[in-house]
Amino acid sequence: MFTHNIYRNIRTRVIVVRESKMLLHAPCGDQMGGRDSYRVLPGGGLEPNESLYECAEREVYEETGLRVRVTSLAFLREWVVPKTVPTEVARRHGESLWFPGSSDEDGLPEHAYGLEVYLWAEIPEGARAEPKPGDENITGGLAEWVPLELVPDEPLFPMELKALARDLAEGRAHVGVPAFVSTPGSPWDGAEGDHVHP
Amino acid sequence: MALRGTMFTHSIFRSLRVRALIVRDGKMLILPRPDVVGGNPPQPGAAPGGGLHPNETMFEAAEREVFEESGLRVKARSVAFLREWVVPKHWPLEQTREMLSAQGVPREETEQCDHAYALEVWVWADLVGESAEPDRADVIEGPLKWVPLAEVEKEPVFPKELKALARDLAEGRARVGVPVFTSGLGDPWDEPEWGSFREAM
Repeated sequence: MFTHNIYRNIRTRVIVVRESKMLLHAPCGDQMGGRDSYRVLPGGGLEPNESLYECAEREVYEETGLRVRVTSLAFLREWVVPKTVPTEVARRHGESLWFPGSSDEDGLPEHAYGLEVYLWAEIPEGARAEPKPGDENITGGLAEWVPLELVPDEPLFPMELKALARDLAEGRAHVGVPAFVSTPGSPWDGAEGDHVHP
Repeated sequence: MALRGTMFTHSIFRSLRVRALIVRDGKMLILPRPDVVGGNPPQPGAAPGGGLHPNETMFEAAEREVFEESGLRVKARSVAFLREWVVPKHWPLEQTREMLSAQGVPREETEQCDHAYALEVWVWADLVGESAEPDRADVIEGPLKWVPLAEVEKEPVFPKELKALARDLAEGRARVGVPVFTSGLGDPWDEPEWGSFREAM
């Protein structure tokens, strides 16, 4: 994170809900210094020449073997070091958690910023929905479908996902906004499509 | 200092920007922006905004930038949409270099790398207080322009998706936004501060 590099500090996390279940990695190893293990969503960092949606779909495939289609942005989670995350905590956990490469060999100052982009995705009609091991070192264990009403009882990062799962379990509509890739054009151009919001 | 560089140096403090969407009394705030180039005419309107400073959240950056550029005090509320630049896959490499060159960025810098990425986070922001007039005179950008929502699509503005959004609002559709929250690590067994996700906004 302390390298300030976007390919390390912007990450996607993908929320796939199907038949009232959320796709989560199995609890991953104890990397919290003696604490219990925890679950995370599939996702990962941007690669060069990739949009957020493309990144999200690739990461889900690599980590779970599932082909998903991203539909919209669910929320953003930011890490502001040291304002909201103490520098020491960010350094200690950066490597093992969300922001690899947070060591300070480059001698940059003790501030850092990380952005996690949480995206809604769905499994297209007829596509396989059973996760299988990915072909890469994955963040957590093998992904599995966890019933929404059980999600709040799980050890989970970020904890805010518990409120989201509870909302969905209780039938509240999920809200998403678009993310779009800009292409060259004139400022006089009209907008394509009728509505910005899905 | 980490603030140097461009989208070609991949620094998050340059590649990530916020833009504030401010709507009041059926009008959207549009600013003529010297730093938005490309297209014709060369200085279309856009929304106030800019990059993050170290140790600043996205909403803090949005509120600061709006004040610097327009003299208005606002409160950022939620995320309206994201806009990405993916070079060269979705935006031509040479055009991007030219664009930055026109802004005074040396070619040597943009030629360091053959790919680039930028993310604009568009946030809904509300004016604080009653006045829609600047409360300072030395604003960076040009005069404020409050454009009726139904007329935004006739304006030269970037991005063009802003026109569809203004039309949606003009037709009475509800403003839709999603939350941003800052995060510590906490305990994975902890409960979030709010019971329902909608309380996050």
